[in-house]
Amino acid sequence: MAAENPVERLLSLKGEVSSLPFPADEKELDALRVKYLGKKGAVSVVSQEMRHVPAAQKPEAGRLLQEIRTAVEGLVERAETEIKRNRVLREIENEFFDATLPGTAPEFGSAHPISAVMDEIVDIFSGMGFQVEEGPETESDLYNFEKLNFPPEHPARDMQDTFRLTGVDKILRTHTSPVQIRAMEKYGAPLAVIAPGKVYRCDADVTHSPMFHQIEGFVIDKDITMGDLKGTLQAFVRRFYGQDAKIRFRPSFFPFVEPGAEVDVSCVLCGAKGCRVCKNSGWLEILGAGMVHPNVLSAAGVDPNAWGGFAFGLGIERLAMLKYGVDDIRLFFENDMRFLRQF
Amino acid sequence: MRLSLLWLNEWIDHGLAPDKLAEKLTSLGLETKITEDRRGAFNNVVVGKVLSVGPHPNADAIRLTTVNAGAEPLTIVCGAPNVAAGQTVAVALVGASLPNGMKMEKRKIRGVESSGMICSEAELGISAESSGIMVLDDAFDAGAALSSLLELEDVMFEVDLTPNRGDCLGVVGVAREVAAITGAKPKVPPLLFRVPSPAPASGISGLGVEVKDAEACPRYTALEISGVRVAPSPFKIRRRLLACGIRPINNVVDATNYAMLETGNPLHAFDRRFIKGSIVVRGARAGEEFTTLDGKTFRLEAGMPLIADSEKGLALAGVMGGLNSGVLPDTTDIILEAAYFDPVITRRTSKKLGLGTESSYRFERGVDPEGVKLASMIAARMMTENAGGKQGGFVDAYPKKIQPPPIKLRSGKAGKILGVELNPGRELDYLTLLGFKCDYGADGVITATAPSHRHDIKGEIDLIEEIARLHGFENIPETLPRLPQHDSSREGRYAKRREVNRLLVASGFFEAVNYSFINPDWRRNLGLVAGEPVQMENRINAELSELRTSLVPGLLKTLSFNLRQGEEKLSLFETGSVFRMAGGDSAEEFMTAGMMTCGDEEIFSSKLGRDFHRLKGVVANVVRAAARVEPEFPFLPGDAKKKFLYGHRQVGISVRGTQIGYMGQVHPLSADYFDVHLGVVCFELSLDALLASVGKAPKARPIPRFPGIKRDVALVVSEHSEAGGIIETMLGADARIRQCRLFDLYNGPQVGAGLKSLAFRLFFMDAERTMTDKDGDDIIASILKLAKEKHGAVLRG
Repeated sequence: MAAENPVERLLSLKGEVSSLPFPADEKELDALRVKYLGKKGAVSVVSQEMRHVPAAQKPEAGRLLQEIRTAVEGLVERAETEIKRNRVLREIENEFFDATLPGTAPEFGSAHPISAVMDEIVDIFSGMGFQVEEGPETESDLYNFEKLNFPPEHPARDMQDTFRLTGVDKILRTHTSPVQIRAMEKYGAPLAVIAPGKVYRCDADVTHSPMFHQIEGFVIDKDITMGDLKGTLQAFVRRFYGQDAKIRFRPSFFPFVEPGAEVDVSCVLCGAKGCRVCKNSGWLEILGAGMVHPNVLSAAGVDPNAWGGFAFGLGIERLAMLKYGVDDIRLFFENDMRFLRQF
Repeated sequence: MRLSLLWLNEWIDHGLAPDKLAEKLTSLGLETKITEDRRGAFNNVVVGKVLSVGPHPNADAIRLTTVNAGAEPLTIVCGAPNVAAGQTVAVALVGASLPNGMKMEKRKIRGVESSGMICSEAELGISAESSGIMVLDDAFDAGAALSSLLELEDVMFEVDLTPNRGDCLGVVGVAREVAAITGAKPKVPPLLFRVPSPAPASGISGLGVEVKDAEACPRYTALEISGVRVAPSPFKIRRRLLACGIRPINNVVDATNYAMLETGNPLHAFDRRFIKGSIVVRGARAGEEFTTLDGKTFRLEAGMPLIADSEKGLALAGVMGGLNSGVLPDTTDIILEAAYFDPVITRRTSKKLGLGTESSYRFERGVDPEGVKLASMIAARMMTENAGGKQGGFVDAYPKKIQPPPIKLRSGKAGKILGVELNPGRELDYLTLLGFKCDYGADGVITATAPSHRHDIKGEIDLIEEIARLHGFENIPETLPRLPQHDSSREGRYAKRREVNRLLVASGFFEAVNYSFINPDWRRNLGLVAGEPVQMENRINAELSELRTSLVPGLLKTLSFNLRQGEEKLSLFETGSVFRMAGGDSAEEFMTAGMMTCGDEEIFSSKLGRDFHRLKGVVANVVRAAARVEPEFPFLPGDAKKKFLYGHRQVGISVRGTQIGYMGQVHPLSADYFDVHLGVVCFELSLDALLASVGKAPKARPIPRFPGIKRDVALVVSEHSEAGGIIETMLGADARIRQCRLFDLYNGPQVGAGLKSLAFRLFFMDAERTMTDKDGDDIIASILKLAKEKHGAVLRG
């Protein structure tokens, strides 16, 4: 079996392995592995023959054998990586996967549209620096009316049909304005407050609900002007309705402010061109406002000669009806899932 | 208030188109809209003279008429029963269009061509009268345009007056505002030129007037008119009354209403026959009975102001006249009352009796005490013109002069509040235009006295508002204030509500908003006993009569409603106040409640109550996130248990030992009342209590330096053993047990009858060193030992 010149044989084997073709797949790779590295493979055979090599040629033969082994093993390793990579790419390329199956995370619920609008408005005013304050829904006549400059037996009380309670000297508050008094009594001046909450009036039809939501806002400070009120509300409608929204002030009457105003916003549905919702006027009445009446400041323990302020109040349902195109206020309180799911 | 343009024009030449007029008034605070514009609506409607009336050849019910409408006689078919030769009538010629939309064409009626139509008041849009044609004054010439004769082409406005502007509840009041904004001078209408200029004689012979209650009646006038002949008012008067929403009655009563609509001062006409002795303005005696014009009898409270004679009440002062002394068809002599009644007292009477009238509405808002005489003169003039009356004596009792106080306007104050530059000259101009008497002091202070009709002017701020109205709100420049700073700790509850709501929404719950008032039956059926409910005195709906003490009834109603609509799986929540009586007062608490249906699980049959635990997990998440603390779910003592929940499927929700709520599964019998026939679990917790228990912001702890080890262990226990106790025992077995999580619960055949298997994943950690397998084995051994002792648990093989 022993060759006459082992070195020659090694040289010839080296030549052979250096020009081996790169295996294309696992089958060729296995064949290559068996042919050279297997128990009876060429590399194994020559290494077994090393013991017959004369001592003088041993170093060279050893070096050659190592070179051959490295070459074959390197080839096998590179081929393994390459073949595996090709297989993975091929599998990924050809797989079937149904990405259209529905997601499996639990579904979200939703906030009530009234809460959503209320929070949005509160956020706008919070961002300007107003602090959020709440007040009780069962109120005394003193806070709901008298301290707000509604004298007893004043016809202005007819503007707000009141729910009275039995066996207790309270009513359900008809507006969020009592928070003005409560906050001033609690914190004094200066103060900037936004007060969201439920209010009640004994009235029910398509546009009136016996329970609804208001937001009251007011600022008490030195040198507050009606111009500040206009500027603040203009900034609000821009944030809420967009850059093009404009406001219009019309003189009106609320006992706790003077001068008092109704505030209209340019109709957001028709771009002030005139439509069914704005009754072709181009304007939508959205809030009442004015300068805090000196009697209100006095009633809340704030000196009207040192301090002044403005206040405004708006009805959330009205804004939500406009925003979402809801035409019957009762939908908000029926809690029909077919309605709630839309928000 | 309805306002007629033609009537207003009688008092002022403003030169404004109707839409501009509405805009100007609105900009002054009198919100005005055009409701009807009849201009041009009566083209080709003319006066006609009925020349002859004859039968229709083809019909019995209708007739043929010949009418002179200014040109050739016309043949007109007419169905009205009252048509007669010699009448002067309103004819809609061919080509006319009427307010009801009808267009006149030449057309055949039962075979005869009709060249127009003889109109009824209804067809002309003047009144609802349609039973016959309208018969006009014979003085009108044939062919004359009807609209100019009868002032039909009017424009009607609706003026939405705020309660402070009682002075504008008449044509004169609106004219004053128009004058102020346009600078035009109000004029005196032609009618008044005909008012006899010498003041009527002082005193009425045979009739004394005594005001005993000057508080309620600061001014009372009586005017004698004799010899009236009661009949319908002329067309023009009736049309104006109708247009303003008042039903014409007769030429005497109409005169009082007309004068009221014109001046804003209500009046009343008594038939002199029924006044015995003197007129006395006095307080009613307690229980005194009085029957008003409309036949209703009231028992009066002591002191309610009454116009009386020496024997009986004649009128409820400022509210309504009596049935015993009103104008009758045979009335000839009148005592005309014009007065100033106190707003507050009038309102109190009107409210207490539940009797609101055009008159009380105006007195409550304050009429012009100096306008009383003018109103009386106008009505008197109309009674002489239209009813043939003769003006007699006049009494003016004015025991309590109403004197507007002078008010000071400090220099620069108006500009400072409005945020505009205003010089005193401008301020004086504005106030003067509005009828204020002003003095400009050397110190720059304006002293202004309001005209007598402006009861709403009481202080400096009122003057500033008047200045602002005339200056124009649109001329106030927009500025932004620098807001005072505050500390966010003031905002706790609202922020917490939003946080809790967001967590619930993310857990799949939909927010509902229910009324705060409920039907007491709902509460009773649920056996809700926490606190006495607050009852409502008046309500929108007979059933919703008390304030809710819990959010649960409303949510159950909502659930029930939606199940009826075909919904199957529902998760709902609500946040809001609940109310109860506490020590004679009402107390409120801010709550959140959630409710969900239990999958498709059959009521009564559920063994595991999986949805109870799902909800428990949601509640734990919400409390943990919102209060930064792990909640506990303790069993409630018997008397704290909710009757509307399953006895064993309910627990409290506690934070640091304080109960803040409860949760459980709704009892099937309670659910049944609400027509809910599947499992429902719910929770309710107090947001106020949650807020009070919020933990401090966490302080970061170092990450453990040594790794821990995980072990799983399954225990077999009696099926009535509670997992909570076993977990507690396990956690107590060794300080190094950091977590114990149940991951499987099995009670099938493999563990044997009456038994169940609980599988836990445990996590052990030692802060000082890396744990070994042996450490783990030791801990497991001590757990098993304790679990066996306390719960009879054995390791599942």
